[in-house]
Amino acid sequence: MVEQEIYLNNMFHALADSTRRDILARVGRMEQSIGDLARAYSMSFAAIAKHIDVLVRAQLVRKQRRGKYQVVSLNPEAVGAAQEHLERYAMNWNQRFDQLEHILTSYHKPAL
Amino acid sequence: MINNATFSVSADKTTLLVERIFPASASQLWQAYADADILRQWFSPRGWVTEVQEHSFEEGGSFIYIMRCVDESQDWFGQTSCGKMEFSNIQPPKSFEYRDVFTDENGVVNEAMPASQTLVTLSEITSSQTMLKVATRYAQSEALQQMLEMGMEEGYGETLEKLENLLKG
Repeated sequence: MVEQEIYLNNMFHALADSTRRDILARVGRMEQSIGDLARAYSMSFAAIAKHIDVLVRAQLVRKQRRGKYQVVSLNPEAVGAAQEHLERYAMNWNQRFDQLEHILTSYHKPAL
Repeated sequence: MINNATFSVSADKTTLLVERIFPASASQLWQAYADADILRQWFSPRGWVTEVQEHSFEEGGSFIYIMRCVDESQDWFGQTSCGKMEFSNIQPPKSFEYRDVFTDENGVVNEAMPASQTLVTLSEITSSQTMLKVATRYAQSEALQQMLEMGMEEGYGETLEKLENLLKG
């Protein structure tokens, strides 16, 4: 239940920022080190790392350490995960609504 | 399932819509939100129970809840999840809005988590049939659109088609 809400919130939050959308498109074409990204956007390493963390939390990208570099790549499961979470979101609403309908139609329904 | 809800995304791709027709009048359905004792009976998904911490269904009022998973067969068994709905624009028995936020067990809002804004609309079709629409807007604009476009670029077209079909219901 909550997992879907958190997931969707994280995803929408991550995608609400134009720099992060751009980073996502860039790493989608080719994996990039955090240093590469910092140079490309003329930002500090720390500022880019912060954006990357938001994208990682939303499960849109992955971050791996390779030697002295941290490499960022698109999470190939991102869309599948989105689909799965939306399916569960739909299932949760249907479960809630089934319960509501049951209450509304039950013989012992509360005084409405 | 008795009667499935319809899911869709708004034309501007910012809002998830859920719709379902219930065998009740608008004012009966309204009570399902206005009366805490009814609300707690349907608010949780299957296997979870809702404990009402606070419920004040009025302008500026809140519903603060703790949901607990009581189904041993679920991975979530024993876990709790806390939240708060802050009500506004209450127009009985037609519509109201709420801001959905995450809280800790003491009802303190977690501001680090982005909140969503939901508009609930009740449209009475007959005295015993009412359409309930729940429209949830996540963060700012364009996010869903961007996700869909990103997926297209990356060749996830087929998955996205499934996703869009899913969202169409």
